[in-house]
Parts: sequence; C-alpha cells; structure tokens
Amino acid sequence: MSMTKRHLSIALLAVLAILAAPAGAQAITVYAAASLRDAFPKIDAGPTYSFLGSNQLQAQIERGAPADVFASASPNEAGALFREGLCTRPVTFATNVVVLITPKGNPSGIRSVYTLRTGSRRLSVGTAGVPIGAYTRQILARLRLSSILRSNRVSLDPNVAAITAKVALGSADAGFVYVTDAQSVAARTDVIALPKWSQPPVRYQMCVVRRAGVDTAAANAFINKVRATNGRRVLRTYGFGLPPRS
Amino acid sequence: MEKVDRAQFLRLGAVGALGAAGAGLIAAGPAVAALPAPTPIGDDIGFFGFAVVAELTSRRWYQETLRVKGLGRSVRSTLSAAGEAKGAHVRRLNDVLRDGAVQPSDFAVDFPKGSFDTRARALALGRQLEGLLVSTYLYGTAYAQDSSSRLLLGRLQIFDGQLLAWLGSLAGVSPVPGLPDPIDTEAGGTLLDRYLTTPSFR
Repeated sequence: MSMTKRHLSIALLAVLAILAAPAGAQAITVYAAASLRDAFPKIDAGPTYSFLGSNQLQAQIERGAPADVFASASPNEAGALFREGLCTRPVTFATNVVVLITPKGNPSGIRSVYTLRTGSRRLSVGTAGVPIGAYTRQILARLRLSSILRSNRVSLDPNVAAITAKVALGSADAGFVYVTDAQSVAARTDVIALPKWSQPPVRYQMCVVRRAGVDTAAANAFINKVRATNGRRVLRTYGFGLPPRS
Repeated sequence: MEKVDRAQFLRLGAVGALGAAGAGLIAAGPAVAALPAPTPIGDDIGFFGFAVVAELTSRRWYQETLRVKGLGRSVRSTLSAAGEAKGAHVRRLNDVLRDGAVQPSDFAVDFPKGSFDTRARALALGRQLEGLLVSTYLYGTAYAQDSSSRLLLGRLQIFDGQLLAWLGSLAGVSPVPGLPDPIDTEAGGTLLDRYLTTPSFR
C-alpha cells in the first residue's frame, strides 16, 4: 500500500469513527423526581437531567418527551407508565420519610404537627397529584388532621423543591417535605419529625422509557449505576433509605 | 377462670372479634354476628390506620412471647391463637383502609432490649400494648362519625379487653372494674412510636 493510500485509509476510518460516535456518546436524558436533584448528579454527572414533580414528568413522557430513564418518588407514576407500555418494569432503589420543616428558629412556634390544629399559619403543601402531596394527605388523614388544610393558609406547590424553597426563604411557616430535602436546607430550616406510625412507605422507583430512539443500553447502565455500591452510598449520604439488595 | 381454646380465639379473630367482657372471661358467642362494612367519614380513617399498626405491633409481641421460658403449654397455645387472631384483626382493618392498607414491611418493630428476658417483663409489655389498644379503640368508639366504624372498633376493643384481662391474670394483677381511660391517637401514637422504627432510618 502506498503512503497516500495508507493516509487515505486512516482518514476514512477517522471520519467513520467520528460519524459513528455521536449515537453512542450522546448523553441520555433522565427525568427524575425533584427530591433526587442533589443526589443523582453526584452519582452520574453525564446525563441530562430534568427534575420536576413525578406526576408532571409522567405526563410529559406520556406525551412523548425524549426521556431515557424515569425515576419517580412513588410507585404510582412509574407503575402507570409500565402499565401503559411506556416503560420497563420499575425497580425500587430508595426510600424516604416525610417530615415537617419550619424556617430556622421556628418563628411561629410549631412544636409538633398537632400544633397546626390551632390554624392561621402559612402552610406549604404539595398538590394532591404530586407524590409529596399525596403522602402528606395520607399522613394527615391517619393523624386525623385533615382539617389543618382548611384552618391554615395553605399554598399548594407543584413539587417538593418548591415547598422546601418557600419554607427556607420564610415565605411559609411550615411545609411537608422529605427528610432528604430537609437535609439539603438544614442551615435554614428546622425539622419536626412526624409520628412514625403515621408514615406511609415512601418508595422511589425507576424504569427505562420505551419510545423510538431510546438509548436502552445507556439507560440500563445508569439504573445499574444508581443501584450499585457507589450509587447506594451517595443516596445514603443524602439521607435516603435503601431497599435490600436484589 | 374459664379456659380459652385455640378454636375460640380464631373464631373471634376471623369475624372481627367480640366477646363478653369480664375479668378473664373470653366468650365467643356474639362474635359470629355479621358486621356491616365500615364506611369511614372524614378522619375516621385515622382510627383504623392507628389500630392496624398497633395490632401488628401487638401480634409481634405474641410471637416473641412464645420464646419466653417458663410458660405452660396451655398459655403458649393461647398466645399462639391470640397472635393469629391479631392477624385477622389486621386483615379486617386493612379491608377498611383499602389503598392505604398497612403492611408489616412498612415499619419495623423494635421492643426494648430485655423485654422478653423474663415472664414478668414480657407480660408487662404485653399488658401495656393491649392497654393502649383498648384505650384507643374506646376513644374511636366514642368519636368516629360513621356508626359501622364505631361498631367494628367497639368489637375489637371488647376482644382486646379480654386479652388484657387474661394477661393481667397471668401477671397476677387483680382485675380493675369499669372501662379504662380513653386516649386519642395523638397520645396513643406517642406511646406506640417507642416500639417502631421506619425501615432504613434506624
């Protein structure tokens, strides 16, 4: 082979390699519950993330949004997509608990969740459709405190990040969030534990989205990364509970 | 004291439980009466949510107590039957909770260290748990808005009241006449939480 031909061959291979590269190297898109906004990028900085309320993300995927992985804060959303044939069978990868947070120093003097019976406080609560809102309502029903949603000035927020921010900024006297969110604003909020007996099981599930063009291999690799030793360590660091290894 | 056999306990538990009150007397007769399905109104559901967690905790106590040394065969048989009846209570309560049903895996029961080292310690804990159940059932019976909910809570209260009396007799405690003090789920929850942990958040 002459020198020119060899150079041409090498150049051709290089061009082919460049053309082939984007499909494999393109970042996958992960749609994840807002409460995972700190932990997931620490587990894998590669994907493009979209953090919102799980119900909002579910609706977007149902409309054909280009997600590769979906991680929800309750089994309902991922389970619904699975039943619709829009994602693989979901796997549980983390757990959480719900707490009540107040601005630092607890200026409105909330001693326990039962204090909210006295009313007239600014309370930030998730909408009924978002997991944190559903869990909150379930807890309040168990505690026989549903009436506090009427006796206080309640703002309904679309996801847990919005509730956390509102309380941390002092725009609300209290809000129901996950303990992991409380941990992320520990310098600006105080935590009030809710009775353990009233806690519903908060389970996070994720799945690979089924749509044309999904990068299944990379999506599965991401899920495996989250469930592997390092992923579990990061989740634990951020305050999440962990299911037994499967 | 009338002897309670396994069949009686199971029959009681299977129908939601009822017996005639009385120190140590556990009767099965009226228990077979069918109950209307509870249709909780408003926060009535809270009584059932509390009760199912407390019954699961109590069931665990009956299971653990079987390991205690020095208990006779008939006592063990009754403990075992009572544990199974508790399981029936849980199913009955979870039927009311439907989508909000509580599973044993939703929380972990952690009794204080040494609770089952001696018969006396075990019985003290058992009486505390049954006392908690009886008092919160009594509160629910008084304050639940739905009449069929009140009926089920009342029947469970009577059944557990008999167990409380039986445990008292085992512990050598004289029966106390009259009803115990009712306690709401706020106070009851504080007591129950001593024995619970959330899985993964120990």
